Amino acid sequence: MTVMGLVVIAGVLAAVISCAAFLVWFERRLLAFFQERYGPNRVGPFGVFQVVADIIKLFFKEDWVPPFSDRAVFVIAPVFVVASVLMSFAVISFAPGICAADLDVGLLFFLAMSSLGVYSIVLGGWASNNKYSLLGALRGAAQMITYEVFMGISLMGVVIMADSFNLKKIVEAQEHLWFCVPQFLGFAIFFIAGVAEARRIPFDLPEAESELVAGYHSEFSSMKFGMFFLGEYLGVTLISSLIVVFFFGGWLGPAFLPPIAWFLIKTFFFIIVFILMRGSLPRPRYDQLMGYGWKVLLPLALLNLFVTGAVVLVWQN
Amino acid sequence: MLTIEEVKNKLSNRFKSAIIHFDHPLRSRLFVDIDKARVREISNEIVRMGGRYLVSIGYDNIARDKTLGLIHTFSLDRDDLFVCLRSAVPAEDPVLDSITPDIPNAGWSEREYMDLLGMKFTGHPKPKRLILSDDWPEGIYPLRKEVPWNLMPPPAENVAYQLDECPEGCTVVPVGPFHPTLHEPAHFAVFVDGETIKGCDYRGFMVHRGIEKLCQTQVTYNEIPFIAERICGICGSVHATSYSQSVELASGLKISRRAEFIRTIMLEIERVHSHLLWLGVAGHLIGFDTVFMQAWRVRESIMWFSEKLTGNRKTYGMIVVGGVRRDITPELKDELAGVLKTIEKELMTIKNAIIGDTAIHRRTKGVGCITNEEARLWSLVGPVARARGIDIDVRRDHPYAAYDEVQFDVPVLDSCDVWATVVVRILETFESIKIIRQALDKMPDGPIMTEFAEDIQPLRHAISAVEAPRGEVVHYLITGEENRPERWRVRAPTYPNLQGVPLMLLNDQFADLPIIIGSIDPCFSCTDRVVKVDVGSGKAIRLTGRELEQISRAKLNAGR
Amino acid sequence: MSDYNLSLFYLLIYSTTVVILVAGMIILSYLLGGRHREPATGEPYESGILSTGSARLRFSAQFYVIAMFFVIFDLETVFLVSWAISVRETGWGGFAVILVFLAFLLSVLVYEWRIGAFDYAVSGREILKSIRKAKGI
Repeated sequence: MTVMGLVVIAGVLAAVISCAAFLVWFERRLLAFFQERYGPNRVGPFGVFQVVADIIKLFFKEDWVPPFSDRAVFVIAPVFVVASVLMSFAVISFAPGICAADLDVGLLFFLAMSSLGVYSIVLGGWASNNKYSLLGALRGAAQMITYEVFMGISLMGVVIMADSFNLKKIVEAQEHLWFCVPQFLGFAIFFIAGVAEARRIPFDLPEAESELVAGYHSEFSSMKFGMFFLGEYLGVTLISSLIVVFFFGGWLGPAFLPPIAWFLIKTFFFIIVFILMRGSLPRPRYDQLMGYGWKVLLPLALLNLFVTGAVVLVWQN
Repeated sequence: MLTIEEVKNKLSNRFKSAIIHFDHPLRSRLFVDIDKARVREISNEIVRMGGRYLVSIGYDNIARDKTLGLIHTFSLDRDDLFVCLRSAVPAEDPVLDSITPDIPNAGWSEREYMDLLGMKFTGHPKPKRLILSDDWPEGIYPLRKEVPWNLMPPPAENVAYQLDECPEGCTVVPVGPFHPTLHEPAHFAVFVDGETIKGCDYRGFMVHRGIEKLCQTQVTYNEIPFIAERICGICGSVHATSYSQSVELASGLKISRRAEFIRTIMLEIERVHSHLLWLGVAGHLIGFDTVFMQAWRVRESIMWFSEKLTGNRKTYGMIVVGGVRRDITPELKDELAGVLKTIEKELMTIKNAIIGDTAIHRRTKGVGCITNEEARLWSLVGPVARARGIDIDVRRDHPYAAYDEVQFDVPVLDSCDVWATVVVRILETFESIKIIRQALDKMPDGPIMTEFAEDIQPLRHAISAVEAPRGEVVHYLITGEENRPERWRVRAPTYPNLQGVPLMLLNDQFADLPIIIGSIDPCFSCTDRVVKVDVGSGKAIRLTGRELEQISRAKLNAGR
Repeated sequence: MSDYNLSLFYLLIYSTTVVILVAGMIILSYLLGGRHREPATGEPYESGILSTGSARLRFSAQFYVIAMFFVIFDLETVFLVSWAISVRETGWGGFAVILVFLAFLLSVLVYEWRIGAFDYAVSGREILKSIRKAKGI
């Protein structure tokens, strides 16, 4: 046990949470830019302190637990959503030596944690005892478990090529060629599944504000609502950094910048892509999303896995 | 083509003694006094001739001959003819045959007069309260003359509207009054089975402002255009124009040609900005906020122009009986041409983006389908009807203002879904731009106001229709004494279209509900114009601004 | 401590921190937040009207079907995962075995597809087609 290890843990948590908070402002400004308007620009220079104002406001809002709800579950659900995403960050290698817990089963750990995320949606929606919440929760559960299936399969190509579940080893295996080239299909599927897992527009059907008001978190207020909100942005950060780790060579890059800088630059690129998607796509309908998943993405993910396996075997011989 | 004479002959041959009297002050308006016993038959005959049901007008005639009047109005679109069937029932026994079984769209009109005049309709399939609040006492009929305009019955507790029975195995999911889909209060109880909609009941009329009663009792002809304009926040000029036209028709006033052109321009400006507004809202409803922001940004330029021309971004106060209040100067004319150019260019970009977006196709094609026949049966209007292959447009079928001098196309599609309404509206916006350009070119010089003598003979009837962005607006006027209308009935386009919504929703997905309701561009305040006092969903509350302020202050203090 | 145990230990510290952090946020907002009580405070939000019927709605059977598919295909993933990590060791033999395994699952997928288990709602195209047909176009 070293002091360094504890510093890394504290650093990762602080960085990740502040990044997610910063994203709230960043997304609003960027969307405003895409839509030719201003966005938040009043609080502090360029409105950056908008986030601080929002957080303070959330903390001072009434922390209301509806009397008709299932109280214990109602309180636990939002905790789940943030905790499960934050846990996934534990296994990510941000740079050589910067990793909270360098597990050998890192990839599986991430898949397990992202599956836990479903619980927060289902429990939150169920405990609220509200029609919109329940409809949203059902949609959310259906969507997330569907995309869970081939999110896992799409990563198996990476596992085959790197021959490891360890995220550090996966990055190191990309020294000569980033996996986004041989695993392009896997990357595309993982990206789409990631958007669905993070419940981002265009795949924000569980929330679908125009028909379900706010979906599974209709009845949540104060920081409990803030948790779902934070969870969404943490999810975006997580998926972006995982894309970088699995397909874009993690911290690898020309030596004139430190490895961690490369990691951040790449991650931010994908975060921007996430936001751009929100600005350019309408929300599909629930049945269309599910049909698309089962009929298109699942077969493609399986195909990708087998071709990769075969190619690796041929190469080896 | 039927001429007015042919219609008269047909009716009198077929119904002989049931036809009491014909009156046709104009070539395009036919008022027929008929025997109340044969209302249903005669209405059906008009429909067979190609008539399209518009609205019914009930009025209190007790002071004159102890009767309540009821007028069913129809439009024969191909023949540029409005036919109004006037019948009367004795006030002590106001029972009439319902025409709703044959003409479902009359359902609301008839329910309205059950509420407001105490009429009874035999054979009405759903004789429920429509307009009055749940706790309005039975037996007080606000549109009767004996009831003062400012009567305010005390609120009652524990009264609730009985919604339709929920079908077996379904759950009620409430949409409204305060729901992100609806930008004005109205309540849809949606019966869903899983995610599929199996039915819906509507309870609206929550924003009654009593405009009609107010105008029949308190204000004068010349003041009404400004109130009429406030019926709708988006298509105000439409109502003011339609009202002014009805007064002009009743009094025989001929307004100057230049005023007519300016009215045309105002109406089209309204259409442009209303359709852009709708496009934005529709984008928002399917979760595509960029369309929303962009469409509204484009819309700004025409709002700024309106402000320059009239002093207001909306609710222009331009149109009055006898003409318009402000002239379009040469400088404004040039500026308008410039504004149109930018809008056309930017709208073209938006159009290309939307037409080519497969994700939008998936969300709108095959959604909210009703067939052409159903749409005809339910007398849908405006872009909603034109998207179902019904080729109607008041501007072309019953030309008013300067529409007889401009050329334009009426886009009609027959794919019968929400997608078609999107396309129809976008194309119409381009047509509007075309119309404004022509009108600016052809506008003659001349005065913009014609003096209005204000001494109209009482009991003249006039009907005027104007094509609003959402469909046609119908104003029916019966002139009265003391320089104000005896009866003034407004029918907003949402009134018929909203009645078709349950049909559009049937068997669609719950996720499509926002865009289906959105596709008719609902304007609940337009629809709800009639009653006397402001009514909340459960209790009748009527507050002055000062009282409201006091209550909010009291609440604020209590919270401290 | 071995490397492996060390990572697990870090993970333990990490997860404890996360739980404390999140719980702290919830508790802080509980302490800081306002309180109020008004006639409608304790009512569920149903678009601003009194709620009708139970919120425990009967939901569509489709959701159970999806849950079943998940069980089928996510179990499949377990085998695929163990194969993926050992491709090089098992060689072509392992490849052939997993191919057979997958053939079964793919046939399940095709079967489900054919019986329309993935069509959660009538597609717009079908609706349009039936309307056209009714009109005789």
